[in-house]
Amino acid sequence: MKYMIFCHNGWGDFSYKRMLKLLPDRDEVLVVGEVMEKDEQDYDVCSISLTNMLSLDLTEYTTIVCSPYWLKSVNSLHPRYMIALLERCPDDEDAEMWNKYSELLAAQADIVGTASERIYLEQCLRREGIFLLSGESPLTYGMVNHRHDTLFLNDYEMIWFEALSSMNKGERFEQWTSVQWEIRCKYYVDLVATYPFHATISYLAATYLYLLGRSSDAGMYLVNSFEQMVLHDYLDCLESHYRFLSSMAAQVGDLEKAIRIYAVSVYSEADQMKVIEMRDWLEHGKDDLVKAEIFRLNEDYASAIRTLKPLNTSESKSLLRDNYVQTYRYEDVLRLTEEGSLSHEKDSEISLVDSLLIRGTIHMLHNRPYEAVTAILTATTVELSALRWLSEMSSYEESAERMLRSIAYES
Amino acid sequence: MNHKPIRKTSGNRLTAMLQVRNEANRYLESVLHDLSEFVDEIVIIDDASTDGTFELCQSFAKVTRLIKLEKSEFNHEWQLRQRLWDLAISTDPDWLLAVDADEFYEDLAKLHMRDLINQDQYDWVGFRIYDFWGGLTHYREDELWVIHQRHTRLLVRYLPDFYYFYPRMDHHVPRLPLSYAVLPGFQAELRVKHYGWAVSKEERYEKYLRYMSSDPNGEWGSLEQYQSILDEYPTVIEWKEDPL
Repeated sequence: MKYMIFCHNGWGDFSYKRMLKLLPDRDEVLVVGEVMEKDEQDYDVCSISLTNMLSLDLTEYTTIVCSPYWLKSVNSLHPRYMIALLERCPDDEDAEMWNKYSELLAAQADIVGTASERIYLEQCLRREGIFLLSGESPLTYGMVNHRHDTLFLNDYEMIWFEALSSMNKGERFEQWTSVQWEIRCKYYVDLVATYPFHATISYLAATYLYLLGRSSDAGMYLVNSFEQMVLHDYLDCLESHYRFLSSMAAQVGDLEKAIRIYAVSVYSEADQMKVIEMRDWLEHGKDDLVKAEIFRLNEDYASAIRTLKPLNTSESKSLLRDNYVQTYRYEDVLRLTEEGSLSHEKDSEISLVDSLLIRGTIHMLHNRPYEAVTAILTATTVELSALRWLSEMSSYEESAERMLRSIAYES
Repeated sequence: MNHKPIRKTSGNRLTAMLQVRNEANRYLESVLHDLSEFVDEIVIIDDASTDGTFELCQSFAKVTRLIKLEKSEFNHEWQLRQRLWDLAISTDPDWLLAVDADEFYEDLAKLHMRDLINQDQYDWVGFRIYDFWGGLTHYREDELWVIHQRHTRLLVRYLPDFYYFYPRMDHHVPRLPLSYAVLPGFQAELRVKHYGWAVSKEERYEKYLRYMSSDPNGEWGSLEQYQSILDEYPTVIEWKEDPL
């Protein structure tokens, strides 16, 4: 298997060097940009310049992309697989843009890894195929031989290795997600026993139990976390903690309770209308819509999408599209829009602008600037504020070019 | 399915909740008279009184739930609070008012009570409590006696599916579940007269001894404040009623 690494600010910035030795079915590993000779030997990688990289047939390569600013370049090369390694926004980058395009990167990648547990958990609630590349376990879970080295793997390395191996074989790798949740869950549940009054630890235990579908156990940890937050005067936890209980109620199928719990946390007229709408759905037997909407309102888009996908009504597709928009699955948004089966005239009116902006973004990320600008300008004829997307695109292009220039200069 | 809105803007029922102990010869009768004017129900836990408190409570028509404990739980206050809370919510209230047996709402507060509860924007109301000292004309105000300078949460909306808890402390437990702190509230410029210290010097001394005996190391409250109960010349300010 051939791999090509696209670091954010060059090789020096790449924080997963050891992981390169663990790449399964490893054949050739190229790094775009300069790599010190010693590192080339130590990590068995070869540096390649931008120009030379462009002359290769990347359909044979699995790309490892560490920056959202590479997305446009990598897309146009049509790699075999795309692995996204998500990082927190560097201090010198615009956080809003970095985060948005990191989401787009994650949405397009075949598999996503990150060393940040915060990013990991956020992504677990947004999509599938997410792996944590850090951990605390001192135990060895397996080993890999690389040239003359024998590498002992810890839990997350073993999981990452197995998931990548499955991906390379074209097999499903979701089972490794659950294995990792089990390990993280046990870690935090054990930690709660040691630190019963720590709000964050209890919250994390509750989150992993929830991800594992064990809401009946998770509630206790969440409630404990909520109590500790309040006792320590962290009072901004109505939505983050209390409302999460509504998702748990939805997960165990108690939708009436889920709505009631959600209703406690809403005050605005729009949110109250949402409660009325969900009650109406429930009364008309549209349980899956309620379930999905409760998940979405708790930012668990992954569960919402899983719930909505098998449904085939215009309402369900409209909700599904909203979830795709939230998770930057833009190709899926357009596919649903083109199917033309979405409900509500008003909704369609809004979606015309949305669709054009989304279409423009996709064109831009696939290096079709003319089509991108045309789509955005068409959107501005309906809604003038769409113009700001042009400036956003231009900022993205500038950031990407700045990164490319720094890599080109290095090499 | 229950379509009752979770927050109503009209027709809210108000239940007052009190825990009492040996209050028969103090202000309890007046308090119950007063409450009967503006609440819909009164719920009381009698913490093992040995005087006629229980019978006094029974004589008020609006007292719809009344339990007398065999053994006092004064030294396990959070349990007592929890017990009262459970009893109060058994009346299926819309709002709950936590009252002490020696507290009186000023007329303006009583006048606005229905406005305070018939809305859907906030779930609790804070009032200013004034500690009357040595009589019914003046309240105390010095560096240790400033409770009226902040708001105390006394009136809350009951939301059946919300998670309620009290801190598990033996003393100085808040009257209402702490979890209300995360919900939006309204700090009303309305006053509550607390007559607990509007007693004779001898009775204050007895209260001092009681505090020192139940919390000798100042674990639950301030020893300095306990000591200040004995101050010979505290600063007091004359109470003035607000015009209606």
